[in-house]
Amino acid sequence: MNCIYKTIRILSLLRYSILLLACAYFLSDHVYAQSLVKGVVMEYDKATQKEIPITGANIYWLPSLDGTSSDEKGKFTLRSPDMYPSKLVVSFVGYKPDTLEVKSNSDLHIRLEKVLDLKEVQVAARQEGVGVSTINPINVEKISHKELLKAACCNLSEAFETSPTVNVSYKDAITGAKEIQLLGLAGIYSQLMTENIPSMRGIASIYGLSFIPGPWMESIQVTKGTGSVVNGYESTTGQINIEFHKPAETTTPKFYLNIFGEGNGNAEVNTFYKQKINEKWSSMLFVHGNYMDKDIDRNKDGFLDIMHNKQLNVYNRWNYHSGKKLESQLGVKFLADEREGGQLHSIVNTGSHSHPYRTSIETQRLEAYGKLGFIFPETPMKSIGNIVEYTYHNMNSSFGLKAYDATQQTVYIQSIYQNVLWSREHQYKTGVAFRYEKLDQKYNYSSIPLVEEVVPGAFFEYTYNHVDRTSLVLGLREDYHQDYNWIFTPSLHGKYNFTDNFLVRASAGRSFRLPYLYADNISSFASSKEMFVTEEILPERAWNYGLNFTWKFELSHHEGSFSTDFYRTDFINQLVMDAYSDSSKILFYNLKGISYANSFQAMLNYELIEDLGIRLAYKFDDVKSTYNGKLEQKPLASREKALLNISFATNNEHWKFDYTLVWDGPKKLETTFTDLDEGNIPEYSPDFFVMHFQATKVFKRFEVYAGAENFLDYRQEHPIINPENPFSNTFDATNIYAPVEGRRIYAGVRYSIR
Amino acid sequence: MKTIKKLMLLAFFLITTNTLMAQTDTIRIHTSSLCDMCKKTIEHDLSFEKGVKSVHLDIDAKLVTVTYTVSKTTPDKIRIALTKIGYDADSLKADPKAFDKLPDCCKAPEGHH
Repeated sequence: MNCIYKTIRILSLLRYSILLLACAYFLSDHVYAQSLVKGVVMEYDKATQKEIPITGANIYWLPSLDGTSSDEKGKFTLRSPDMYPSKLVVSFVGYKPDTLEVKSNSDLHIRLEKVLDLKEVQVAARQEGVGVSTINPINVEKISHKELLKAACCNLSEAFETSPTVNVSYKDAITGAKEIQLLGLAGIYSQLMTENIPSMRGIASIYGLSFIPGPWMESIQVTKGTGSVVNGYESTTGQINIEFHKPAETTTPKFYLNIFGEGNGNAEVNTFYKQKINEKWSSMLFVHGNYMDKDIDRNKDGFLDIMHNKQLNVYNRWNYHSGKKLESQLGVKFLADEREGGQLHSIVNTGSHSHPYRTSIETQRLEAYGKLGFIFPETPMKSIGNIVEYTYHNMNSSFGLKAYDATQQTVYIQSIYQNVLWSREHQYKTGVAFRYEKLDQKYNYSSIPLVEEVVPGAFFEYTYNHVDRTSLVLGLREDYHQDYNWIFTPSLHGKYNFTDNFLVRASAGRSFRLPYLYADNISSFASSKEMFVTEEILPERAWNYGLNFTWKFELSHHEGSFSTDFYRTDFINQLVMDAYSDSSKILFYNLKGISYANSFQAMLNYELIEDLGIRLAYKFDDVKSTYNGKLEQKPLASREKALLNISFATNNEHWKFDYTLVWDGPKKLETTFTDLDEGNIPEYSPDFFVMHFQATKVFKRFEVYAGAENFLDYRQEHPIINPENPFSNTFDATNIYAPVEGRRIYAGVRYSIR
Repeated sequence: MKTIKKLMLLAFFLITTNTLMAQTDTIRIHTSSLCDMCKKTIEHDLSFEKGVKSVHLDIDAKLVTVTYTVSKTTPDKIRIALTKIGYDADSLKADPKAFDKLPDCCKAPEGHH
């Protein structure tokens, strides 16, 4: 019939055949009845008012599980049960399973009902923490809800602790802001999305990770390398998509409460409440708050190691389902965040200044979106999706004597039409997109020219899927920018299965991005060095190529997977941040020469014994750019990383244990060329280990968990250069390669009502 | 920290010895589960019943496999516990009050023949 259905059917059949084989083995001493039961499995098509046969449906008796599957005409024959009446189960992917009580040996006519569901059908034997797919042509790593619980709490920046793919590093020693690094490059080169809408862009990217609470998330999908053109032209190294809990999701509890406390004084509360209003409407309310106001200065440099932080984050979403053709989603998010740090209030002597060096960041954010989707029950592959989103993001910040204030407003509109071309093997998505953006900025209280962008665009993505062997995705996108004219974004993804369990993927694509000079480099405010822009900044453009091998295996009845990949990013133009050339300035200019990032990763997942999973990974990144004519390593970029994760659960997960050990290799430190010539400053940082562990005790209605982050208490000894004189011209808090905050001991309670 | 480590070791020791010493048996019960949510509910709730060591539900086959400690519970007690969660257990019908409290997806009528 078509390849997707076949894949699903083959997989489900495989599962059943294993089950059946096992059962046949155990029940081999049973005496089978001689007679046969015949029947047919059909589906009633409302559009044509006719019955259509279902091929490959599973039909089996209870309790023996003795069964068969239906043929092209929906027909089946199977042995009669040991006795009448007996229960017969009929099931097929995408349909409601049915159980019939069969009283005699007569012919059966069974009708199955379709399950109306917009979500993709997922074929997975068990929920793996970090899922490696063998079906998707694009290299996507799924971080499930289960995996998210392994991290301490409470926001996105902590969600990647057990994943080797995404690095999370500190940006400076004062704000404690964390940054994602994908394929060796900063988070600004990857695209962050919430439910497939680009999110936390521009000025929001600075602290964006801490604005997405962990317990709200259902899962995260990390796409390595070129992403889908459907989502825009900005993704260079990958896409990180976050799915929140949804009101229509049956596995989500009705009510959830998480209370979390840390030894350092940080406290967080997350909660959500799901409500079904009527058959068509359902809604969900999420609330998150965190509070930290303790002065912590373990390295005794007079600066707070962790900023004081207050956050209130509220999200209300609504879901409408007509039951037939229409589905709609509406949502509003509101966020208020305050951070304060810098020197302790007790410090009054700061050299030439009478007041201490303080840092404060205030953020307000509002997001509202609407989604409207149409499906066509008579043509299941056809759908139309429309998205409208408005975002307002305001931040006011000060770093000692420097100040930066910005307001960003974005309107995003997108329409996607999806259908098959000739047969189900050929599918396409096409549509139009529109983005309006207004950025109002002030640096040191003087206005920076207003940035206003209007970017309409159109895209087309063709997918070819040949019966679980070859897949190809070709994406083309064209946008028009008022200043830079046409932006052409091509992308190509391919997959080839050597066997069902061994495959290769390749990808290539180009991206375009307008740098946000201040927001992208806000950490340099935490340094006495002045930002100095030497020329007009041009858009960043880059190519990304990737190759991935994935091998799934079964060793002594336990599943495992091994994947290895190599990605390369080549910049055509980049905004180079140059700290090498001048000791008193940070220079910004367009790339002259080459700039690249090579990234290699190997990862092994294996279930050693039942409920004991082990993950081993190694990563090597080589990131270089041309600084003032010299090809040099990008300072403070990740280079080598190794990760070990062991997770263990007792029967029915009454106890869960998780252990992670990460080795972080030496990184190139921020030095000037003169320093390097003189050789008086170390060129590389020391390597170090970070260890996390967590234990969870599950009770009937609630869970108690406790753990430690950075248990070995590794800290960068002197994260700030010249902390005694923060207003002098040698003060610098940006040369950060390791955690500033040390060991974090935490405990919490999760309570849920289903 | 040392005390936490000790406690964890002790817990682990207790779990292991328990498994080794107690005599266990396994039963299969036909039930009325429909969806993933049912699986979650049954496996979670039933595993907290006294004497129950492990629970596994096969949704498609509507079959719960329960391993239990012989000295602490009986198959009948487990079946009654299952009906109190809101599901049928072999010939026993689900407790109507518990059934009412189940999420909608677990209450869909049992097919139509």
